[in-house]
Amino acid sequence: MKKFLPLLIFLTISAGLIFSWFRFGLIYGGGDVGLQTYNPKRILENARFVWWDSAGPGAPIPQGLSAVPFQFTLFLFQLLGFSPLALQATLFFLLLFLMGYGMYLFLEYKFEDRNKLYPVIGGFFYMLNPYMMIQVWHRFIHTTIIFAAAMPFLAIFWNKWMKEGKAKHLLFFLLTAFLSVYAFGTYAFILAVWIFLSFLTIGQLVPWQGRKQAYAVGLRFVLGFIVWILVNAWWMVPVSQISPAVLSGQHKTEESLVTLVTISSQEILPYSLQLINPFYLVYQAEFGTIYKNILFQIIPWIFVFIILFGLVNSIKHKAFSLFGIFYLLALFLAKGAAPPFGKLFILGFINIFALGVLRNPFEKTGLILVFFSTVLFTLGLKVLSEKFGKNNLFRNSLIIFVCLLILIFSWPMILGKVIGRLDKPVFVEVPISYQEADSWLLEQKKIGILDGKILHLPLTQEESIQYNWKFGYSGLEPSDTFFTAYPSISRGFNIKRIDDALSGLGSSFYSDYTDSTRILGNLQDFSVRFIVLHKDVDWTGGNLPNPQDLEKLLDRLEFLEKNQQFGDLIVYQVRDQYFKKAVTIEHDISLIYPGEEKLSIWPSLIKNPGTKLITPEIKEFTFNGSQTFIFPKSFFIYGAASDSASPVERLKNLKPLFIQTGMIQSLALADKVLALSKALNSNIDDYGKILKQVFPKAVEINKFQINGEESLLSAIFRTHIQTLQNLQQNTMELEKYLVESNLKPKYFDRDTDIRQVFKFDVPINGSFELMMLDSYPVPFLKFYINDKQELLNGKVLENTLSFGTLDLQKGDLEISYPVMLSENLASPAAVLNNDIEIPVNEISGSAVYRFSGNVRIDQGLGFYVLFYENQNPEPSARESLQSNPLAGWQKFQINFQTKSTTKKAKIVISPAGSKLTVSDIKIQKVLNNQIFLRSDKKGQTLLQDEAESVEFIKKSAIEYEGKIKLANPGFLFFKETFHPGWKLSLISAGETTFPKQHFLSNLYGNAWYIDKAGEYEFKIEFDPQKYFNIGIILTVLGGLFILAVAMNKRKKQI
Amino acid sequence: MKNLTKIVMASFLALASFFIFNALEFDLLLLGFSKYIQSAIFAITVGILIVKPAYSFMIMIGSCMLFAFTALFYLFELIPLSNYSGSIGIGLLTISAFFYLATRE
Repeated sequence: MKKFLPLLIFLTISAGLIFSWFRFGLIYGGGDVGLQTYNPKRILENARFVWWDSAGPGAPIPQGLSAVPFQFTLFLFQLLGFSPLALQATLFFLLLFLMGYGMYLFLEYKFEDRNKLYPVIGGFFYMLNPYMMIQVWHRFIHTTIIFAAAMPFLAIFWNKWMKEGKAKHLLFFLLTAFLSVYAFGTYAFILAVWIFLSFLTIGQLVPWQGRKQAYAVGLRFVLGFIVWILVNAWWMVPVSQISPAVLSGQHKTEESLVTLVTISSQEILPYSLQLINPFYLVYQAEFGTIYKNILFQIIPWIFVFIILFGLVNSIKHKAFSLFGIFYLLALFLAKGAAPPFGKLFILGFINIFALGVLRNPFEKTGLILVFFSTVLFTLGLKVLSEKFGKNNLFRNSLIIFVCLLILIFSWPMILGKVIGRLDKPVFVEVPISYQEADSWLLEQKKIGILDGKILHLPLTQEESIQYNWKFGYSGLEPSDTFFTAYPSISRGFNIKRIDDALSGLGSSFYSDYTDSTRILGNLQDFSVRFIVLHKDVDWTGGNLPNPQDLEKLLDRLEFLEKNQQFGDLIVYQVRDQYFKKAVTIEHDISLIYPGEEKLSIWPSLIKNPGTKLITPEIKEFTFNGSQTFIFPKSFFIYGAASDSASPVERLKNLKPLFIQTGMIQSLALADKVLALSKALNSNIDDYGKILKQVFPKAVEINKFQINGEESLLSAIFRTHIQTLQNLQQNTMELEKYLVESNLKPKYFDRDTDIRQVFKFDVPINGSFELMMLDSYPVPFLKFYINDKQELLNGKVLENTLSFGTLDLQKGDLEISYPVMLSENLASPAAVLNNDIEIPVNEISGSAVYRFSGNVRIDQGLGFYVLFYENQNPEPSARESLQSNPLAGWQKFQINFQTKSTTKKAKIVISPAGSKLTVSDIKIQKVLNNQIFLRSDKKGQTLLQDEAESVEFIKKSAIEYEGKIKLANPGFLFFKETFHPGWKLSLISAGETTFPKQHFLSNLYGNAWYIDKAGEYEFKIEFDPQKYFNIGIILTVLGGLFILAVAMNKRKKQI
Repeated sequence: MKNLTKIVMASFLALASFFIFNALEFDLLLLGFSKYIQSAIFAITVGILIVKPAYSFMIMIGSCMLFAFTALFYLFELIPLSNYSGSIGIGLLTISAFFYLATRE
C-alpha cells in the first residue's frame, strides 16, 4: 500500500485541481490555441493531410501532422461520448497527474532513497511552481503543457538508456516521445528537448568512469538521436520540406531580435531566478494585485534560496554534481539576452536563422530550467531538513511550511482562476446556434450540395477575433472547427499573399468602390456557396465593418438567398445559377502583375468582373489576355519635409529607442551610417580648408623640385586626384544603392517637392494607360515618367482617373508625382471635459491624414492627440506631444493612417493637466493615391463554347478527380491557395500529360493553361503529401529496428 | 619564482577574459559603464581562481550571498540594482562552479 501512496497523492491532487477548475461546468478556450479540445474529430480530419482545406482557401500546415496522435486519442474519448467539457477536464487531469507523478518518479530514481517524502514534494513543486502557473497554465499553450508533462518521463527513460544501454529503455523513450509528439508542433521544443537530453547525457559522464564508458554514452546518444529522427520522420520529413518557406515568410531576423530583447528585458535575473514572468504577474497583474504585496513577493525568493542551497550542495554530491551546472546553463538559456553574457544569444540570432524559434527563450527553454530547479529544490530541501538532525518537529515544520508556501503562491491554480485573468477566466460557452447552423449546412451537403465554401462575415484579416458570447471569446478564429460541412473562409493566415487576397474579398463588402457585380465576381472567384453572417462579433475594437451594415447589404443582393437565422447567425446561400465551382474552365483572362508590396488597390474592384486574373511567369508567357494590369513593384515617399533637427540628429536621437526595443540590427546600421556621415563630413571639410591654404603658397614657394625628376607635389596630388576619382566611383555606387533600396528616385532627385515615387517592372513593350484610384482635386498633375516631365490631364472614369496612354518599353519604369494636401477637413471643435474634440469630414478608409496646427503651452509640459475611428471607444492612435512652456507658439504636425473600414473619425486633443491654447487647426488628407498601368487596347480572348463542361469529385483535401471537355484551348482554374506542390495531370486516350505552366490565379489560387481542345480526365494532387509517405516508411523502419533490438534476447545491451 | 610565473600568467588570462566578458555583454537595460565593472569582477575572479583554485567553493558561497542583495533590491523595487547584483552573482557562481568541478579531485 505504501508503494502506491505517492500515486494516490498525485491522483488526489490532480483530481482536486480539476474539480476546482471545472466546477462551473464551462470549458476554457481562446488565445493562440482557440478551441483545441472542442471537436477533435474535425481537427483529426484536417491533420491527416499536410494541406488543410478547412480553413479556406487552404494552406499547407505540415506541423499539424504532429497533432494526429493527440487528436486521435481525444477522438476516441469523443467516440465514447465525452462532451467537450469532459474531454478537456480529462485531458488536463491526465497532464497534471503526469507532471507531478513523472517528476516524482524521476526524483525517486535519482535520489535512490527509501524516504519517498522528498521526491513527492519535488513532484508537488514541479506541478505548482510559479513557472507552471504563469507560463504553462496561464499562457494556455497546449504544446507547452504537454511538453511539461512529458519531460520527466523523457528524462527517466533517456537516463536509463544512457546508463544501461538497454534497447527497451530507448523504446520506452521513443514511445513517450510519440505520445507527446504534439508538443513538437512548437518547433522550438525540438531544440529544447535535445538541449535537455544533451545535458542528461553529459551527466552520465560524471563521475568519470573511463574512456570506454564515454564512448558507450556517446554511441548511445548518436544512436538514440538517429532512431528518434527515424521514428519521427512521418511528420519531420513533411515539415522540413514544406515549413521553411512558410516560416521565412512569417518571421524576419530583425523581428525575432526585437522579440528576443523585449522578452529578455522581462527575464532579467531577478525574474528568471524566481521563475516568474513579470509581464503577466506584475505589469498586467493578471492574477490580481496581491502579487505586488511584499509578503507574496518574498515567497518565490524562499524557493530561490532553497534551490541555491541545493545547487551548492549538488556540486559536492557525486550523483548531482552536474545538476547545478545544468541549472546555471538552463538559466543562461532562459534569460536570453539579459546580462550576464547576453551578447552570445544576439550573435546566435544574427548568424543562425533557425535560432529564431527561440525568440521567446523563457517560454521555449524555461521548462528545462524548471526541471533542474525542481531537482535542486528537492535536494536543497532534503539537505536543509536533515541539518535539523533528528528533531522531527523542526524538520516536519519546515516541510509543512514550504508546502504551504507552494500552495499559497499558486492559489489561482488551487481556486481554478489560472486560465485567463483573475477577474475574467477564459470560459467559453459556444452558442447553440453554431451547432444548429452546422447541422443545417450538413443537411445541405446530404441533399446534394457537395461543392463550395462558407464565407464568414465580417471577415477578419488577422488570425484572431472577438465574439460577444455569454462569457465572451477572444482568440484564434474558430469557425473552421464549428462548421464541418464545407471549408470556411474565416480568417487571415499571416502569410502576405493569402492575406492580400482575403482582404480583397472582405473589403468588397464595404469598400467605396464596390457594387453587387463585383461582390458576385469575388464570391465566384473563391467558390463561395454559403455566407454566414456573425452578428455576435465584437467589431468595434478591430478592423471589421459593422455586421448590421453588412446584413442590409446582403439582404439587397439578388444573387443571395437568405436561408436561415440561428440566433445571431444568418446563413445566406449563393443561388445555383450564380455559384461557380472550385474547378472551372475560363476563357476571358486578364493578366496581372501585382508587385511585391501589399496591395492597397484590390484588382477585383477595378477590373471587368467577368474577366479572371492570372499572374504569369514573365519569361515564358506569350498570351496577351483581354487586359493587362501592372501594379508598382514598390513605392515610397521622397523628399518628405523634415523638421528643424537635421536627419543625422534625428537618427542619433533614435538610438536609445533602438536599444530599448531591441532593434539591434537597426542600431548597428544607425551606428555605421553615423560613422559614415562623420567620416565624410570631417574629411571633406578638412580637405577643402587645407587645400585653400596650401595652393597659392605651394605655387609660390615650390621648394620640392629636384632637377631631372617629377615634382613631389605633382606626384602627391596625382594620387589625390586618383583618390577623388575613386570617390566619384563611390558616389555612383551610393546612387545605385539608394535607387535599389527605394531611398531615392532614379530620375529628378533634386526636386524640392514631396513626391510619391512608384517603380514598375513592365513585362512587355506596349501602350499602357496610366491610372489612379480615386479622384484627385486638380485636373492636371505633373508626372515624372523616367527622365521626362509631363503635365497630364486626368479623365474621370467609374472609380478611377485615367491620365492617358504611355508607350512603354519592357523593363524598369519609374513614375512619380508631387504629393498634395486636401482642403481642411476639420469640423468645428467642441470642448468636452477639457478635451477638444474635432470630428473629421469626408473620412475614407486606408488613407493618410495630416493633423497640424499651432499650440502655446501656458502651463504643464505637453498634451495628447488621440485618434478615434468608427464607434471604437478606444483610440486607435495616441501621440504624446511635449513642449517647453517658455517656447511660445509652436507648430505641430502628426500623420494618422485610417483603417480600411473607417467611415467616421474624430481627433481629440487631451491637455492631460496642461493649460494650452491651439490655433490654425487643420486636418488634411494626404493625396498620395496609388497608380497602376492598364493595357488600353483589347487583347486576346479565348473562344468559349457552350458544349464545354467540368465534372469532378473531391476525393480528399489533397486530391480532386474529374473530367473536362474543352472545345477550345483554355485555362483550368483551381480555387485553393496557390502552391507549387499542386500538380495537374490530364489523361486523354490513355496518354498522361502534365501542363507545365502553373499560374497564380486571382492573386491567390491556381491555374493551368491547356493548349489543346479535347476531352480529358484530370487529377489535381498536392504533391508534397508524398513526403508524409516517405516519412512513414522511415518511421516504420526505425520502429522495426528498435523493436527487433529490444526483443533480441541475446543482445539487449548496446 | 614559480608562484610569480603563475601570477603573471593568471594576470594575462584575467586581462584576456576581461575583454572576452566585456565583448559578450549586451547592453540590455542600458548597463552602460557598469558592464566594465562587472566584466572586471569576473576577470579578477578568473585570475584569483587560476592562482588559487581552492577558493572556488568560497566564491560560490560568496556569490550566493549576492543573491540576498538581489532579493532585497527586488523587494524594495530597485530593479536595476537587483538585476546588477543578480547578474554579477550568477556570473561568479558559474565561473566558480566550473572551476570547482574542473579542479576537484
